[in-house]
Amino acid sequence: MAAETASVGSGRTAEAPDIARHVLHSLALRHGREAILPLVVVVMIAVFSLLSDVFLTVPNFRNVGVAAAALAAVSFGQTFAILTAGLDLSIGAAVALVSVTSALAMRRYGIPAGIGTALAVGCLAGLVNGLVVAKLKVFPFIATLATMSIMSGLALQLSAGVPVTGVPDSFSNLAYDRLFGIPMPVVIALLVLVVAALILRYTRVGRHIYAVGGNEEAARLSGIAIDRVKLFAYVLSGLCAAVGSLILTARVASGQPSLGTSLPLEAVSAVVLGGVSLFGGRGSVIGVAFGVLFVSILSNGLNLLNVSSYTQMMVIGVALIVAVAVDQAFSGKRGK
Amino acid sequence: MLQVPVIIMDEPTAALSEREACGLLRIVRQLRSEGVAILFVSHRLEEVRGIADRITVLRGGRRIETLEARALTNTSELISLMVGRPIEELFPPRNRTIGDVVLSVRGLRRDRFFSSVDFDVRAGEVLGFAGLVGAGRTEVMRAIFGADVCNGGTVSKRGRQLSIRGPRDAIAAGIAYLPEDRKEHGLVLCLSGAENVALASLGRYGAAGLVSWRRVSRAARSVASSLQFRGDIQAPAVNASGGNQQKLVIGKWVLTGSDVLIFDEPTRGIDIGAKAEVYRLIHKLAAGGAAIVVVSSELPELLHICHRIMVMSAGRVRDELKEPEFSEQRILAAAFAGHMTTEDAEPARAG
Repeated sequence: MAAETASVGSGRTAEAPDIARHVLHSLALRHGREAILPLVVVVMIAVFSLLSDVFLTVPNFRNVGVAAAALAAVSFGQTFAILTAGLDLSIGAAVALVSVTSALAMRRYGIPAGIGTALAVGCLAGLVNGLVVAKLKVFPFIATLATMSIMSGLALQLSAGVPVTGVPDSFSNLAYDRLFGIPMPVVIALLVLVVAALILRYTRVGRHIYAVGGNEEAARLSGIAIDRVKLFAYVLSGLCAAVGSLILTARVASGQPSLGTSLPLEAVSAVVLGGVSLFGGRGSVIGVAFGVLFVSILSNGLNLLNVSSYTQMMVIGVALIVAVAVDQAFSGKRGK
Repeated sequence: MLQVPVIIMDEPTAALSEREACGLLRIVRQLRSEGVAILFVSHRLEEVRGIADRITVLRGGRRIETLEARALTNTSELISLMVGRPIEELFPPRNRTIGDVVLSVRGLRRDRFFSSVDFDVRAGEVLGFAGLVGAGRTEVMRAIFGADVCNGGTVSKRGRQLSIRGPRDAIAAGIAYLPEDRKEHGLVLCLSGAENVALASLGRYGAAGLVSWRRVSRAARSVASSLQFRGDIQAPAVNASGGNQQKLVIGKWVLTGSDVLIFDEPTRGIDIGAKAEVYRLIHKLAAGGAAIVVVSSELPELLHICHRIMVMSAGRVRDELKEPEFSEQRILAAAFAGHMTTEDAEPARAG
């Protein structure tokens, strides 16, 4: 409790270091957890720069950005689900389903129809998840595990298990276009970040997401329509998965029914590493952006050092366990 | 049994019913007779007087006084030391301007919990609900608020029958419910105090589904100062003391502008200074024309702040007392009425 307050008014220089220490101390207390990851990312960048000549170059950072963009969009969506104390494991399958359906639509009706289809399918996928979780009261873990299977099956059926070709070049080129030197996928991911941050901070439903995740019963007794809030969170998660899917579809220039299989794990890792509590109600998309950077830079750096992707999988797994353990420790201390 | 020289008990009876507490105190006495020194921390003053040999009063982190329990003539002496002012100021004078009936409950029923509950509350009136733990008082209040379903009966406000399907409807109708357990049901502990007080009225601080933090802060600051909230309203609610947390929950309902406020155990587990402030707030709200219902397991509290007391036992209202006829014996008799055989219960109901 902030019982002591530094006397700022006196203005004597001798007290300045005390005040600075006090401010730093309270910042560390309030934001300590949020500050750890950016520091880790900076240290990681420094280490990889020393170990690899290629790492700290503009082309490589463009690579990291393009590779991170889809994961970023999907992770920002996942953040909404996890903030409600939920989980969306179906995002990988949603990415595949969106990829297949949007490629099919694009091939026949053009790019705008393809993008429209992608966003609609993403919303629909999220709506189904939200209804199963909020109305049927199925545990989010099980609900989205089941819809993952449904969506994955649907994607494979629609595509007959083979990639959907015929995606227009002008669409797949988007993955390599640049805006002021920044790759288009990164621009899109940043846009999603800004919108997600604004929703969570400045809209009523955004604040309700935090309240529902922080204490569902208290939120209900405060008149919050928790079903609608959860529905909204899962729809946003599906929508973000659709955006991520468009980025990936453009990169591979085809509709892939096997796209995004590693995304659920990577997105959950990025979100939890980014300081969002699996218990709900705590965390921010800015933190998640650092989580995405961590996962993407780690993978890029290890690639440059010729570490096999199998080893990378193990590293990500360990990082996820560490992040969740830290979350548990913090939640325990705060008495949940 | 393990022999320990000293046992420190911190609010050991806070979560116990009267009967369970008696059992615990018996054990404490037995330990004392076996030569164990006991440090007994409690906010139940009668209990402290009953069990302690010496009593130390702390206030604001300082020791105020240590006295022999035998030297104490009454509890109010103890309260004065704790509050730092005379006891008369603990309970504020009752609001004296009573208006029309605001809330009417008729034949309210929830199977296995309570049945045929009828009562009215008037503007400016404080209606108490006494009874044992498990008598069904909380369940009645939750049903009125729409937190639980009920199987029959009507709730009307100012003569208009309400159809309440959930807390949202109740809040929209101007009914507020301060739950028994503030941490589990009242607050989102990880959010700031300001956000907690704004939670039930968030739509008012910004248009088109947006939230203006400036307006939230302004509302929170004004309610914090009127409730004498001490601490940082921008800090997470989990950091606030029990009394301050309770003020946050009260503040939340004050900001909704509700004119029916149901307080379920409003002073449970908060210190006596904060209690005095909660009582004052209740009467301030009543003086402002709100109809107030207070559920409490502390009889002295009900006897001092209510205009009328309903007594429930085993899911039914057993007795109703108006202020001049308040009597602890009569309330207790009614509170146990549902637990006696039919022959025993009859005289109690008549009394």
